[in-house]
Amino acid sequence: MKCDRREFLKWSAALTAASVVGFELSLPENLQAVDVDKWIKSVCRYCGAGCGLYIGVKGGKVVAVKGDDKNWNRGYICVKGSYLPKILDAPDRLKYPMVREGGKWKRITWEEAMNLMVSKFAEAIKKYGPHSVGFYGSGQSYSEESYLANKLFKGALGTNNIDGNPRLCMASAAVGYVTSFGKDEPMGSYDDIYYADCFFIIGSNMSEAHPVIFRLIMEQKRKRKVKIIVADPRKTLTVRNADLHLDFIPGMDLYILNAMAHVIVKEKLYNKDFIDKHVVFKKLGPDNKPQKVNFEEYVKFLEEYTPELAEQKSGCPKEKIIQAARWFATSKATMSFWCMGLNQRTKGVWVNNLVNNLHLLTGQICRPGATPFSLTGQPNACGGIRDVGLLSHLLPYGRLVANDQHRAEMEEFWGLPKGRIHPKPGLTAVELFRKFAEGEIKCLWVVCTNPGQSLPNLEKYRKGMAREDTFLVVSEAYHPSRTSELADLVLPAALWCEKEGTYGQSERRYQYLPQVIKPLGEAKSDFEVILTFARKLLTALGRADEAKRLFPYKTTEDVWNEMRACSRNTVYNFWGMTRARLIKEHGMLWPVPTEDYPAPGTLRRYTAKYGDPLVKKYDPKAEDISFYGNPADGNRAVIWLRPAVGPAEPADKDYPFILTTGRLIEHWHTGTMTMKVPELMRAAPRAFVEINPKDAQKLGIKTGDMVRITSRRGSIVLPAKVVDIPRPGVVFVPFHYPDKLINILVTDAFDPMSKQPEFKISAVRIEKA
Amino acid sequence: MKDFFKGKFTLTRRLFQIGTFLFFLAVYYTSHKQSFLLGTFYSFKLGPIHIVDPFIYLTYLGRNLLKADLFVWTVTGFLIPLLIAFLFGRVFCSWICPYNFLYEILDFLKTHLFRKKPLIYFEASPKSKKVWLALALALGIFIPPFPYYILMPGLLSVLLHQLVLHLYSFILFSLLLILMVLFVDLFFKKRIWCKFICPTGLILGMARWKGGLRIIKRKDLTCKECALCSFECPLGLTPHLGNHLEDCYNCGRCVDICKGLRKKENPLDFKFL
Amino acid sequence: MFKTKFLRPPGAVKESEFVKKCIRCGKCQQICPYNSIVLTSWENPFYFGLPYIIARKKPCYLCMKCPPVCPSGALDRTLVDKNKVKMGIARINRDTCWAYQGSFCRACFMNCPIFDKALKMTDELLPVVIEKYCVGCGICENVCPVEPSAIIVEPLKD
Ligand code: SF4
Ligand code: SF4
Ligand code: SF4
Ligand code: SF4
Ligand code: SF4
Repeated sequence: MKCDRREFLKWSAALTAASVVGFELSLPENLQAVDVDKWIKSVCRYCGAGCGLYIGVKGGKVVAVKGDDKNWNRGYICVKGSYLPKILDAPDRLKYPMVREGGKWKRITWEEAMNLMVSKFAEAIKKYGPHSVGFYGSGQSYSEESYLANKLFKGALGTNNIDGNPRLCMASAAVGYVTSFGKDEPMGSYDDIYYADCFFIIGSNMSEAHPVIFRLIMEQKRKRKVKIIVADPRKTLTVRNADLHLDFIPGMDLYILNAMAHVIVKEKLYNKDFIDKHVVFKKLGPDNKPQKVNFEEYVKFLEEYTPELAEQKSGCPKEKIIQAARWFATSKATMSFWCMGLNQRTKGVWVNNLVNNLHLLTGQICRPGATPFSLTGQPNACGGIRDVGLLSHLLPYGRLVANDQHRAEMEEFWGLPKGRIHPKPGLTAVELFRKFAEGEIKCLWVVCTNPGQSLPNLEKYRKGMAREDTFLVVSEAYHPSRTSELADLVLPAALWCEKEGTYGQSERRYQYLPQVIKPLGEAKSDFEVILTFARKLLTALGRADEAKRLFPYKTTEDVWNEMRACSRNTVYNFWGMTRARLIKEHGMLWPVPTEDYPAPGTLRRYTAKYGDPLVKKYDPKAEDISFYGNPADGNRAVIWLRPAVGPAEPADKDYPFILTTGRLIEHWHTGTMTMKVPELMRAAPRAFVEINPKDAQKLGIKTGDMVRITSRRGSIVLPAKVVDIPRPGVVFVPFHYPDKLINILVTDAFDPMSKQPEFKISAVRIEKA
Repeated sequence: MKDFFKGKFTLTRRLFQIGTFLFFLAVYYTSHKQSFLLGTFYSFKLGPIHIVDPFIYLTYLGRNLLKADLFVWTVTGFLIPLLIAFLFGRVFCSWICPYNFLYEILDFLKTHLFRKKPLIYFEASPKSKKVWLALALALGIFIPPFPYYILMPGLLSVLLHQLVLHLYSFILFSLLLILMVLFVDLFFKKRIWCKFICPTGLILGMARWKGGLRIIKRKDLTCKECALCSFECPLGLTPHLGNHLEDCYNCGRCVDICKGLRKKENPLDFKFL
Repeated sequence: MFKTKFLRPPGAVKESEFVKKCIRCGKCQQICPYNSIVLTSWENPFYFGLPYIIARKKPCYLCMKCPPVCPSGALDRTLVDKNKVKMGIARINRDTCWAYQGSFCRACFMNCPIFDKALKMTDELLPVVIEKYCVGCGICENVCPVEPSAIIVEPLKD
């Protein structure tokens, strides 16, 4: 058979892995030679990586997307991003408002829907006070929408019962940043990938969850021979391409991180100079109040956390821990990444602190390539929830509900009567749904998220959502979803490029998403709906003047300008990010204090030398580094003495396995969008449970067998996939599939500091079904 | 309709034929879960033994010669049908074969409901059958798919399985084939297929032993020459003339007819040894 | 006009012999719990009744139930180890595979039953097939999100 060279390259199979190393990846400029009318710059709808992309429109329809080569992702996107156009006209898109009447769904007009909603909310407020209503927002809503909702509930209505799904995903990282550095959000950016020599990845399967960021790291590995350390109880693809794998019993990573600090201190690998200048040490005193200590005390604290102890507790060989500590400390620049593996934990804040500690201890921070970097799950969890303050304890731009001065600031800025903002933080996600189930919250509005599938210990909360005497409104693009099926009223939401707004992803990068096509059917953007609702509700409450004064906006740009102003006197300052600039630039990183501040803004914070414009403002005396978010400790960062503690529900005799859940690259969150794409469904059609071959052999389970997984809260039957990915004693189930609600099994124990539930670790029993 | 089941042998035989169909259906609905009973009329797995169609196996041996895989359970399974034929004649054809059953149903409908006359009777000499069988063997050896186009029981059983699996492209293909054969058989020359063409039937017929199970016409009892037996014979043979032995497949229809008519002292009966 | 390359069930002897040996009894098709095996008809009447696998529709999941029920030696009755199967070899079309196009995909890698051996992800996160280990089960071809599949199992030639 004739086979020319091109043909050979095209259908390559004979090549060994070795011979393909060095294959230059051509940049995907002409990924698809599709015929479109025009390409419009936008951002991916899915994950917190926030890949820039171009949307190809033809005849008023979105026909293609391609990576934005001028954005941070340099033209790369992942497979689900590539199939984005197909989510827009899925057959189960919700096209008009519907109300449930006697168990049946009935189509109604927008007018009727809004009136019904307003009357229910107004009635509850009049009868039971403002704390009887609630709002559950999302890290996928545009920032303007979240800002509006926040203003309505905390400002106009005076209730803090407004929380967002980032409570389930980012809260620990946010509190971790705040406790370690004084203010939220990472100091580094993706740009650091190009400078780091050592990557420390813990609690993150980047290859599936943040594939494009991982691709950039792997590119560095090939070009510069950087070191990659991955700590994960599963041998994921991320691990398989790493240089060092710390494999441990889930929940025991606090021992490993403390042991790494132990090694660093013992081998004198820490940065004395940096510690003296920029760090204070703290521990929780007996009264649970933070208490300052000195370095010696920290050393003494670490003494007990020897690598031997870590090995004994976590099952990770001590040589590996020592090796990891040495690489971490001695590399030219170390960058760490983490995600839900650390955040979704009952000690989520602590373990976040411990990673930050390593950076502070070794001075691997505030230099190009040296930074602790928390990855975000949702595209707008940072920009829209953490920054905008759509969490029950936050106010916009780093302000706290519990802080009198911050409240006063916001009351003045929003033009509210004094004392309108309630001083007590409201209900957090899980509590909100608990109170809703108990009937204390009468009306709840869920926007752009799917708690009916994503809450932990699901059965309990689903029952609550299905209650007849409460009123649940769900704004969704798809119906039925596992949440909207329980709702009393569903509102059709415009999706992604059917509306305009701003996203702020992991690295403080704000990006503008234009409206490219008309919303499907009668769907409206959540912005429009929240605005109308706010005006109507306030009028119904007899505060028509406030309705006019607080919500005068015509376009999202009006709100955006107010947000810019709101950030102006905070460390978040992005005054310089005008809408026009955002439209032109491929994303900008705050702080951007002035309109002429060069794009892309501030790549590294807390360091004057590498370009943070705010150091001079907040800490004029600082030469270079200043953790100005924490003036209380003299603009220093905090190393916390956090004792190692195991998970809330370790494996035991009755439930000898640990269940951990996670993502697949093909799907995103609860799958309402990705599961409408046939190509992705082909690649990942159904839920499964990964079992280690050793465990499987003991239990007599083969790939394809049906397996029953039982926890203290429920049980589920799934097909087994016997594969050497999870370590023995651990089973893994993806959480995407609406027909297999794995969250029914998951514990709802949560971190007392961040209120984030421990999704990642639940004790289970498995048997052949 | 009653006629279709009338008579002791006919009724039993019908039960066998229907039972065969149900049996295969049961096999196909359970085949993913058990491997004790599997297969088609080409080859059927009964526990460890792979019973095979003699024609299929002979062509298999011829095609592969020295390379043939002489699996002991398959060889055993090859001998079983021959042994049965040796002792009981072509009972497979009359009591089991789904093609025969199908034919009988259609033939019954044709003659009893639509009252269509068949009928070009056809007789082939024993010698020409041998020549054809030799030719068929040669074709089967040199053209591997050949046997699968002409063995109707095998094809029907495969078809049944594909129906269970909903594999329609195969179903369409094999249905066309079967209908073609049925058409020839029903309207052109009665039973040309079973009496002359089906190689498995020919082999089984050759394997029968003269002293084995057969139908005889006793000379000591008087035949009234009513010829109803011959009219009813599904193969179109003429047992009242006593010249049926060559092709008869021991269905017992003629015996039933004769008995039903005469109650006792009827000249037609089964005989063994 | 007719299809000539067929992916045979696991343990099949080489194609020229298989055509002669298989007595088309359908037992392999009946035992297969996934209904992976289909029989030839219109695709090529010369191969009428021969079992084969359309990987894009249903690949072979290597449960190894079919070889032991074969009466004719067309499938190697003694084969039990899925790693020793050799039905074909997967080939990646670099012109359409998402990974080679600068998008990131690894569906074939994650689903390959000879995990991390038959298919490897290089440091550039590109999938490559290691011929020695690939058994040709077609699972990768089945799951590939590209239409038509960017990874296709080429049945073994004689
Ligand atoms: S990595 Fe995340 S942001 Fe980038 S294309 Fe994939 S889903 Fe979209
Ligand atoms: S079991 Fe063997 S002989 Fe029967 S069809 Fe399958 S491969 Fe052919
Ligand atoms: S090994 Fe199993 S899945 Fe594969 S063809 Fe045979 S029976 Fe079917
Ligand atoms: S590479 Fe494809 S065909 Fe080969 S073993 Fe893996 S999944 Fe099967
Ligand atoms: S599944 Fe297909 S597109 Fe994805 S990496 Fe494999 S060959 Fe490429």
